[in-house]
Amino acid sequence: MLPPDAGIGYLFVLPLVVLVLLLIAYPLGSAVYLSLTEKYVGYPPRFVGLKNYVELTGDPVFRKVVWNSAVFTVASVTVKLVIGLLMALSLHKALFARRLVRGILLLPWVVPTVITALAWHWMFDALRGFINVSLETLGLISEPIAWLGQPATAMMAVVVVNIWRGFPFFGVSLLAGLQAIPADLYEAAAVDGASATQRFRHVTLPGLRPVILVTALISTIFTLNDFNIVYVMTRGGPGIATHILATYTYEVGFQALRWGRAVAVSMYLMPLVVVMIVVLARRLTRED
Amino acid sequence: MGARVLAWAVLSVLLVAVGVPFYWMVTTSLKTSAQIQSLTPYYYARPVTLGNYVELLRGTGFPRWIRNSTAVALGASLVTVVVSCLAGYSLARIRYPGRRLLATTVLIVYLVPPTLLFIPLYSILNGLGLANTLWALLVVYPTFTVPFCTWLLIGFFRSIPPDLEDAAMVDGASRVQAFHRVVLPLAAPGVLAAGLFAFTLAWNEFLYALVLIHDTELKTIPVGLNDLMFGDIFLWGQLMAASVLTTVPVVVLYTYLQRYMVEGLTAGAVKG
Amino acid sequence: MIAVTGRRLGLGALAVLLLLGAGAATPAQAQKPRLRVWLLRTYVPDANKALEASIAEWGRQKNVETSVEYFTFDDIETKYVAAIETDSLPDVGQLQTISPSRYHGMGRLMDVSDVVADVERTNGPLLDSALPAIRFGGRFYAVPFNYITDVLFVRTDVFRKAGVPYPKTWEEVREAARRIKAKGVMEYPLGQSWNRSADGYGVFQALLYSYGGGWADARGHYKSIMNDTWRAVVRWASEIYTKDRTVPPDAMAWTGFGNNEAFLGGKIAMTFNGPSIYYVLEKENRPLLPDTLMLVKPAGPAGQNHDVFLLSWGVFNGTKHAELARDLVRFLMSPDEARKYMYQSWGQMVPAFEKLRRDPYWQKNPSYKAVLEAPSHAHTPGYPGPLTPAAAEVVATNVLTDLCARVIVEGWDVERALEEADKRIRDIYATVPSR
Repeated sequence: MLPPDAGIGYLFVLPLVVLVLLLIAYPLGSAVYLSLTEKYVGYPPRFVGLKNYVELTGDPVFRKVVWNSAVFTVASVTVKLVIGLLMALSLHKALFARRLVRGILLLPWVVPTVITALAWHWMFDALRGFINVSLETLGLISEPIAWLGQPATAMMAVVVVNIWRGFPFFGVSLLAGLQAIPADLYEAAAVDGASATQRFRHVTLPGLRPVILVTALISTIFTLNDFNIVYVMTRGGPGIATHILATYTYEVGFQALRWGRAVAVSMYLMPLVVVMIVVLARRLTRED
Repeated sequence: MGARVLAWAVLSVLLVAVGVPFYWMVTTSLKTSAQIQSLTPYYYARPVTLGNYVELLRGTGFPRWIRNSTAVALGASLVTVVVSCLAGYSLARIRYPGRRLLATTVLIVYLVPPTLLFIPLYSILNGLGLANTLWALLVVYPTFTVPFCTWLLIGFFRSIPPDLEDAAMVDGASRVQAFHRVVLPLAAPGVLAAGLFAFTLAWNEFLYALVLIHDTELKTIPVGLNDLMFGDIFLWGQLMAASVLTTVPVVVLYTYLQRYMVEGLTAGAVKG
Repeated sequence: MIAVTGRRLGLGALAVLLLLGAGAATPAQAQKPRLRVWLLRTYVPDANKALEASIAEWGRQKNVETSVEYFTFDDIETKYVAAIETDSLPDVGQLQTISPSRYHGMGRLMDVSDVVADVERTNGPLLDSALPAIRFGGRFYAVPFNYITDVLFVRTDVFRKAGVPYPKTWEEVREAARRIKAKGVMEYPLGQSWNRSADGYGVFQALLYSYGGGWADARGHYKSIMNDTWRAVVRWASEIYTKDRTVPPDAMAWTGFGNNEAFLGGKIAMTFNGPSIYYVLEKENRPLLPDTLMLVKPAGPAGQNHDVFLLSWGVFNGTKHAELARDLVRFLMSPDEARKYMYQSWGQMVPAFEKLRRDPYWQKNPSYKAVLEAPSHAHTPGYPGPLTPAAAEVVATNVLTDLCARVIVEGWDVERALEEADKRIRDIYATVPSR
């Protein structure tokens, strides 16, 4: 027995379904198929089953790439979430020049990523970059720090840039989420004698939870697929210290021309992320 | 009171973190290429030159790129907002079989990077006769903006307590009217945010614009920026000038758009 | 809501109008044949324009509509791969060194031996070093246009100050850097990065071939790299970082422009690069110009063997106007047209055919002479064997530079790094498809 407004439900969701089926399902299916073939650019594909995945699992370079991606993603998303939350809460409180500040803080998200990456590449340069030159001028270091030349600091650098670029996404989304919480909920809590911290825990956080979960998930997917920052700043270097899934896929697909394997690389973590999505979907579409 | 001080402390730190690299970008855009590479002076431009901006606007296809990018991004974000609002609301609020599967699928298909989707997409576009036109981008961009915005809007809609709509419906409003008059106004900041993100995603998209379009006339900004980087020579001054010119208008627009958005949507609620 | 809806619809209409306006750039129905040409956007805008002008001129003469699209050094593979897979290759396109071998293997290039023969008649014989990149099975599949030569840039004033002669061998390069540093003239005199760009894999090959090393035999089959020659090469590559410390500490993270900018900013005294650095100095008359000299790359125990960066013209099999395409290439290669390009190229366009090489343009100064001379001693990837798709893949997948990175950045010992590279090369040769 369908609920009464199911009709509206299906109607509203129809454009989405059409878009997904037409333009996404077919390419996705074709991608899955390709990952099961030994396809070399310019040659027809040859079905080989799970061979690509098996080979990747045994490849130390690929394992390092997966590790790098995990570090890159977890570190970036966590910090972005925290900073975004702080930004949203602060903007919500600050009434003076709120719009202007919010606009300025949006800048990193809007600047073309290529340029952000180039600018930061320059800032991290050992001999001429803003960071080292300033540190040296202030007398804090005597020898230049090779930020992008050492594996650990290089990874830190690309994470910092991803955070810089991405925190406005969290900030703006969470702020919008905060603004969607009706004021009377706060009033009711205040009337009931709740303190500021208690209001935060019992009104703000629960009200924000769906937005937090969704932005964190979307950001995770985005960050996992992020290409430009690492490609422009280090090309995955030094060596393969910052090589992540997206840059590795690119190399395997466009430089080695091994298309089947390239698709397998980017599909490799899909089961894990699918689980995350399913869990979240359940949460968000649950009857209250 | 203490809360406000803390808020401003946090915002100051963030403003500095955003300001420093942006300051560097702006200063570089005002330096000559000799200044940029000789690194003197370092922290400011002397003499200040607008040559990069002039060269960018007159000597490259920059005005064309802006026009193309604006058209595509506006169109794509419009389509996105409409599709995502409707779908997001439906998935967040209305109960019907298959909604969970749909919500999940929408996001799963999002996982595959464009690097791998463009080949089959190209065949589809070719079949539709849209290859090498801006329409191709208008059709393709929603494939990554819509899942993104739908889920974002699911989140926003979910954070609004359902009692408000229920109350409206008890008072005789239909589901559609409740959506229109109760939910949308409250979710206005969220809808604007989603629209903004869709816009900037389309604005900054590179790969599809590179491979789906051949005509130099139809280049978008990210592809056009490539023209300022020839192998191992980069026109830093012009690149940074391009960065300023493509960023500031969007930010200004967003800063002032929210008021209209909120007012417009809220007006409906008051009348309803 | 009305206000907002109205605004939204207004914006939407605007978008549609803009799109229609933009999309209306589609050409009206023309009776003229249309030829698509893909060009590399080089760092010399004058040269790019000269080439475009030549193409347009030919179009006028033959009553053909030509359309030029550019790619850059960075997205050349992306564009070609996309075009191959979506069947939208141009009629004529410029190809980089490893491309003719790969695309011929895929059956995408037309046999242009007749064009090469015609060009040799008017331009004189071809340089030997170009042959392995364009000739397969005795037939030519691309017409070589120009080399972009990699040379050794030196700061003459720094060398003078340190009392060090210009290096002629790879060992002398190391020694020169050490002495300049020891004398306190410059902290990091040598700017050599083993990165994922031509600066990395190109120079590594020059070093390798000069030492007599290779990863393939004369017939193009895989040959193990676990030998002393390779060990010596990797030691040279890594010890400039680990022992001499004459290289800037973050050089391994440089991308293509890192060494350019370091040299132009006065931070290094020696680097290997194409003439782009000299172009900037000359064009903008920078103060460093009189103190900059381009030299041919150093020699090793096996002689003076350089790497090749060759740009050639390919005619693609899918073209509907094969004769016109060939004719265009002939036209662009004719001495008059090619000379126009060369004169605008600021030393970037090093001809592959004899006649233009003898042009007085190249006698301008010792630097230009060095640029001209270098390709005479150069070898293509896979030396001493032919340039096969497998050799191309070894270069394209950064096996050579990753090898150095393992030792320099991750502290692996040379043996272990060589074993990994050896396995990667072996796997590539075992699995790459080819005709």
